[in-house]
Amino acid sequence: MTRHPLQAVFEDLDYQPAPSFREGLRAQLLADLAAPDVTSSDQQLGASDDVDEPQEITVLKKVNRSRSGAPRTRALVGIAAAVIVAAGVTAVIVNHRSSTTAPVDNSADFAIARAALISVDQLGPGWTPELPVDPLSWAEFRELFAAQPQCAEYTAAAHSLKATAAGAITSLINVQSQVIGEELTIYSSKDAASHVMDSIAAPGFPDCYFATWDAASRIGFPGTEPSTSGFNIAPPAAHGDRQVDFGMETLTSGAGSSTRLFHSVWIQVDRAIISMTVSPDGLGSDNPAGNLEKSIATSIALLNQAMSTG
Amino acid sequence: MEAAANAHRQAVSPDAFAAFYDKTFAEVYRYLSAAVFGDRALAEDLTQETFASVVTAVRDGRAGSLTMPWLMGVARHKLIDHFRSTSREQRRLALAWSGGIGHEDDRLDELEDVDPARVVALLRDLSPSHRLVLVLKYLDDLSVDQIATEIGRSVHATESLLARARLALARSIRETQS
Repeated sequence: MTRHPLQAVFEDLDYQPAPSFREGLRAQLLADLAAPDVTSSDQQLGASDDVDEPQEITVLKKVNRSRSGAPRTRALVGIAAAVIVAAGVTAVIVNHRSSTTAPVDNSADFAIARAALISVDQLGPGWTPELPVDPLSWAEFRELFAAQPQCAEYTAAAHSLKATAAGAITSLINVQSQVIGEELTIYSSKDAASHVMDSIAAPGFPDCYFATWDAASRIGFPGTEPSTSGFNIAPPAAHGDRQVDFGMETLTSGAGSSTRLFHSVWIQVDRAIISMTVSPDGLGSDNPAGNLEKSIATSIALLNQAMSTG
Repeated sequence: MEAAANAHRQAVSPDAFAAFYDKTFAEVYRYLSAAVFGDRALAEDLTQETFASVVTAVRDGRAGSLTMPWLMGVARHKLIDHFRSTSREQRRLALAWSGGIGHEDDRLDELEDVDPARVVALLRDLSPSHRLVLVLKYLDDLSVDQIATEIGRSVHATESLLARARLALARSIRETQS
């Protein structure tokens, strides 16, 4: 019986694990056995990239932009890109360690993050959860992010992306094809969260994000040629300790050419960062900020409640 | 009740668990790595999820199930779950952006002439459902009937899916060669 050539290909594959992963997982699992309420699937191995935490906490950056009359051809069917790019849409616990500080016990953070994610019930009728967003997208996005030359200076912003996501996921799909994607990342300290926000707030970060977004879109939608740029959109009301937002306009070429609009927002609340990606122009809505404002306010309220009780 | 649960928990000592982990880790990781074509981050995720299930099993008093066949079955289901979610996501995304990907008839004769590393790269680019059935068929060496059971499809649908997966790979190879 001859061997199928694909079998030969598979048999020749021999990938070796990183010793650090093997030992880290081993230690984590043994700890899980001793701690009955937390499992390693609820935490983030490999999420503890060494980061020198900044010395200062950055204050609120006020974003003040007005919306232009950007063209829109149809409703937000293309929000799918948000799900790929923000494939995160998940609760991520990041335990940043500096070389001078001991590892932080963040075992309670996952429960906090889970409790702080929005559920469909909190957005009213017509919303459906999309579960789960595939972890591969995380991995792909991490790689994509790292592969973009525009992102070289913004590695801190990718720290959350380096965390492997295994937790609660919230990607909320409206029956009218609107989507709200939420990513909640809890860091070990407010300084660590601010460090990430520094990267996200940097002037060049949007170009990095757009490049990654387009790269992800090309993977998700072969045959399209997306090109994303910024567009002016009214920012949400000020929330949290610090907030960054920008509008994204994605043009696709070809027979199915279209324009799709997105609004990406990051809000730092103490040591947490909430990220929202919404479709602001679902079915020609004249109230583009409605769902965003509601989502942000809901998420912050949930986070504060979870933090206070967690 | 809690005492009973604790008794179960004690059924596997940390040393015994560590020994099981040491004995099985490498095989689980290699299987999952091959199944995801060397995507290290994903392989680590799936490995972590697989062993997290071991912890859960120990806690649930199913320590007796901690065997290599059981563990590999868990790993395979983690893999299938992953591909399913990926596939579901991509279907939705494809719908959202319109213009789905068509399937052309083709054969797989070209495979033997291609560098295996290139084949792996092309496999990575296949759709999740295609990757899954090829992995189950040629890495796990499952029969079509077994694959159908694993992925919850009819045998006929699985045969069709497997055929389309081969064709998709063949088409990729042809495009590369051209």
